[in-house]
Amino acid sequence: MAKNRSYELNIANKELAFQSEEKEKRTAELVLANRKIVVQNVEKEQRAVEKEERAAELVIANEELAYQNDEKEKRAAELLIANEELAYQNDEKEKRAAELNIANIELAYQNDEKEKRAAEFSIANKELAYQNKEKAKREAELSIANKELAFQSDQKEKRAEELVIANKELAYQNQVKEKRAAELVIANEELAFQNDEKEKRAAELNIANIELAYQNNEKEKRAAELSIANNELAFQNAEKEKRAAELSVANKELAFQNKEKEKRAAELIIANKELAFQNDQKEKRAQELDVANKELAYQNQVKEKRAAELVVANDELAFQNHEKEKRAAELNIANIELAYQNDEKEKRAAELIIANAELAVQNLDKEKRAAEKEKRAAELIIANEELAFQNDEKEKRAAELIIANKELAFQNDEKEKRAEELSIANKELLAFTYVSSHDLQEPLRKIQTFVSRIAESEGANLSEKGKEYFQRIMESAKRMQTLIEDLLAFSRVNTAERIFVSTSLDLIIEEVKTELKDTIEEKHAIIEATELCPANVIRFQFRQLIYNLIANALKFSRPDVPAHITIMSKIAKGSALKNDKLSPDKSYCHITVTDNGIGFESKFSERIFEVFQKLHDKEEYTGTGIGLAIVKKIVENHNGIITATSELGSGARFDIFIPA
Amino acid sequence: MHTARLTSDTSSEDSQHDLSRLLSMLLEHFNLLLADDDKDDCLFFRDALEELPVQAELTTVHNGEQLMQLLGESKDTLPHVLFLDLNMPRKNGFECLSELKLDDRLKSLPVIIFSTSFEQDVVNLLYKKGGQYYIRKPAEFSQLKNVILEALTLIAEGKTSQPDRDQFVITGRNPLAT
Repeated sequence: MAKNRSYELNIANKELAFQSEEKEKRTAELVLANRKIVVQNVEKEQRAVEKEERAAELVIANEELAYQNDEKEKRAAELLIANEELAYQNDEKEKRAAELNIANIELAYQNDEKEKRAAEFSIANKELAYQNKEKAKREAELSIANKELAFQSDQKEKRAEELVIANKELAYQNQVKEKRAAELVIANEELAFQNDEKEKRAAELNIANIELAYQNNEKEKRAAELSIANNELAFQNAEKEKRAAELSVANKELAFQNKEKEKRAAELIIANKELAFQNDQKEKRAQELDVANKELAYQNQVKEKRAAELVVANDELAFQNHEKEKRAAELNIANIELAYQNDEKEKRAAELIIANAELAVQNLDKEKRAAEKEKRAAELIIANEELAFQNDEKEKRAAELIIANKELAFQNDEKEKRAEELSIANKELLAFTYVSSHDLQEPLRKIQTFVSRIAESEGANLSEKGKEYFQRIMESAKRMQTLIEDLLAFSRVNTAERIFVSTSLDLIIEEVKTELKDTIEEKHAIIEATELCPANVIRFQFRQLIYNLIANALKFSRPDVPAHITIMSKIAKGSALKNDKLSPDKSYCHITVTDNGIGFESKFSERIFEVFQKLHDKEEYTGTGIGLAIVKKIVENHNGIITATSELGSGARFDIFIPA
Repeated sequence: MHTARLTSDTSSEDSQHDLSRLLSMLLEHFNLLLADDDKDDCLFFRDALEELPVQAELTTVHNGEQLMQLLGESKDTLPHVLFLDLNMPRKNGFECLSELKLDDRLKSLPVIIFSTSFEQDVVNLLYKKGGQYYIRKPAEFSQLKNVILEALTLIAEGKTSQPDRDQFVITGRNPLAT
């Protein structure tokens, strides 16, 4: 553009130079004409005609001048167009600035979105923190559960040790085999119960592990979402950096265009200076023409008309020159305005540069903010990784717990096997006891029968001593029969089927009273059975228990005092029953059998429940020492406990606690 | 402890009742079968029977197979009652009772269990299997006579359908009382 413009100006200047040369030639011709007028005064009229022609030529010269003025006007118009272009470019720049403004607003909006996102992250972090707290709680609970398991394991180990000792005792103590076997059976039941509890606990732990795994999954999902959100943020930051880079490039282009405009303005200034120089030259030339005209006027004193016309012509030329000066001045003003506009544009460009710099600063701020957000995102990623690590640790811990549970289960299995083996051994022992007792009955019965036959049929032939001996044989045989029957009853208590039925104790007591009617009458006994509650019992066993206790109380009544037996029962919580072996939270049916008999020393309160343990001579009180052992076994079959309290001579009291 | 009260200590009405029962039994000629592997017990039974005022013919077998063979061969003449021991070689009393109750011809034969043992569970089982009565072999010879007499009296009265459970066990306490 600028080059074209300067090329046109060059051509215009050359044309002007050409026109000036033409004018000089013309002027030279006019001088020659004037000289001819001076020299050829004689041929005045002819010359007048020539002068007229000359005037016509002047008219033509004036027309040429007018043409030149037109050209100058065109040039001014072109300058106007150039200014309009500049104005258009300014408009474009303003539009560009407006676009930059919109871009800034968009950036501000994106920043708002980022802040919102950051707020969401903050909430997400709080949620994660809350979940971590929940996990910590859960962990604490698991820890407690593990401690409980460990405690139970300890208890089992202790119990197992006790079982081992019990087994050893079994091996060495043949006399107390039944008692120990009974304890083992109960121990086995307890173990089985504990195993059940542990299996339940293991199942609960399993469920807890599944829950943990589910929570971990949820957290991993959340972490993955956060990771995606971070990636989005990083992508948005990258987009903003690109946008800033584009803005930077746009600013550079604007700066380059401003420089180009400055160059163009400088070129226009040079062109204007050249025009001013040409005008100066023209003014000099006009002055020279004026001098020439004055000379001509002087030389043409005579020919005044002609001279006056020339003066007029010269005046016109002067006027034209004046007009040209005006025009040059206007162009000057226009150039000054252009220079001013250029200044303004430079100022504008400077402002744009400042604005760009500000934008660049703002972009830097945004980059900083983006960097902070990236940092925050990185921190969140680290936090997520930590959570993931903690989750891994918890999963590991859960896995360890599962393994520990499996080990416990395995140990339980082993113990169950051992318990089963012991149970089988016990059953074998009991079966042996039962079979041997059962088979002993037959030869004994035959001895008794033969003895009774001899006593009946041959009694008359026997001496008194012989009769007494036969009586002693029959008594011993009878005692052996009782022993065998009691032993059978004792072993039967272990082997018989156990069907628990809610039973009214009143009925059982009435049955027993009927059965013991003769003895009750003989001892003038009063049996008080009040405040009785129904109990969940193995009916025929419990009947035997009540029978044995009442029979026991009747047997050990004081000879001179009528027997008074009181039976009571009530349901109460373990915590209210003053016995360490009861579970405080469970309900028990508490049955007491109290008598006013001879009692026993308190040091025997445990021993009386052992098989074959007697406190009296058999002459004094008959019995095999099995009755209370059967009672204890029956109570244990009901998962209960029995205690005996007494002082010698002040009656006895039996407390039975069975689960209600 | 308790002895058979055949005559004394009864009111005149009871006396007459007992007398008529005794008469009906005395008129009966019992054909008895005892299955017991124990020779001594067979001897006691025979001796007791001889001392009782009844007309009875006793056949003994010593195991379950012999018993079932004998009953299978005797086409028309079944015994009035079978005293069956439980613990026998080759085929025990439980098996014999089950087989008898499955045989249409033999299931009406009254079976009185005659055993040393006295387990409630076992007694219940035998009652369910269709035993007529249960006798626990007593230790005293006099008591043995009592239980046999009571059993024969019940049979003589024609009580051959199964009694209530509480009447199942023959105690020999008072063989002539209901």
